[in-house]
Amino acid sequence: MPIRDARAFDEMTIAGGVARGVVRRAHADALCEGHFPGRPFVPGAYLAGLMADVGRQLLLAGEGEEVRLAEIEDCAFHAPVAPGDGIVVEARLIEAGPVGWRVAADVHAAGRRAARGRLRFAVED
Amino acid sequence: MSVDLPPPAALLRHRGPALLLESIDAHEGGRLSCSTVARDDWTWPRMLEAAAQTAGLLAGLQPGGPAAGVVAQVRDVVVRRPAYAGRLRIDATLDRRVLQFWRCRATVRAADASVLLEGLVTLGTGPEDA
Repeated sequence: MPIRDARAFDEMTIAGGVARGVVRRAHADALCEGHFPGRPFVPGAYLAGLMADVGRQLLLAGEGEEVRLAEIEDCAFHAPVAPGDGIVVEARLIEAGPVGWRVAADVHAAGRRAARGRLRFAVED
Repeated sequence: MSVDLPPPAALLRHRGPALLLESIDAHEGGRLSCSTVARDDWTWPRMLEAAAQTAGLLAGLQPGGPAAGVVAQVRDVVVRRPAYAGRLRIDATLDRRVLQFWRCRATVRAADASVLLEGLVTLGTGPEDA
């Protein structure tokens, strides 16, 4: 299922229960503007935001629900992500329960996993 | 509480639109309070980044703290309001230090003191600390 997000992603697909978003280079550049000039990298908070964007698309397509991020349970950043690293974000559902949906997400950049997170979503108010 | 500190711009490596903190309002040991610039487009990732900048300042003020720390982990971050317009107040407290990692609890508040976002931010040493 291809999905277009003109702002953040060049491409987003959902297959086999995994949503995969390819981050637009111009968007990555914008996220880095002024962040450690001379050696810019995407702030971790914004990587978490990209994880949530992809997780939200996963739940919208799979569960048919408009959701909002309720909690970042845990998110670890293993390596700096430069804007030209070819950023790909993947998300998959790990649990659907009474307090919402839990999603695991990874950020891949420069051919390696740069960040991993677990997010919880709730129904949009 | 002492505020005998230079402004965030003099302490952080962030510039231009990435610099979200405007002032240090209070500092005492393992506690720091900052105010952000006023914006009408605060999203939760931007609030979290402002919290990380506050935590980075606090970690950098500790003995042996990083000069330009980077976020290594965020945990238990609860988003109470995903968007806001105005100026934020951010309070950070040092929760624990393990080796070269400083974990801080950060709370992001609106002008009326209601909590917008809160959670744990862990800073590690950055490339400039090597």
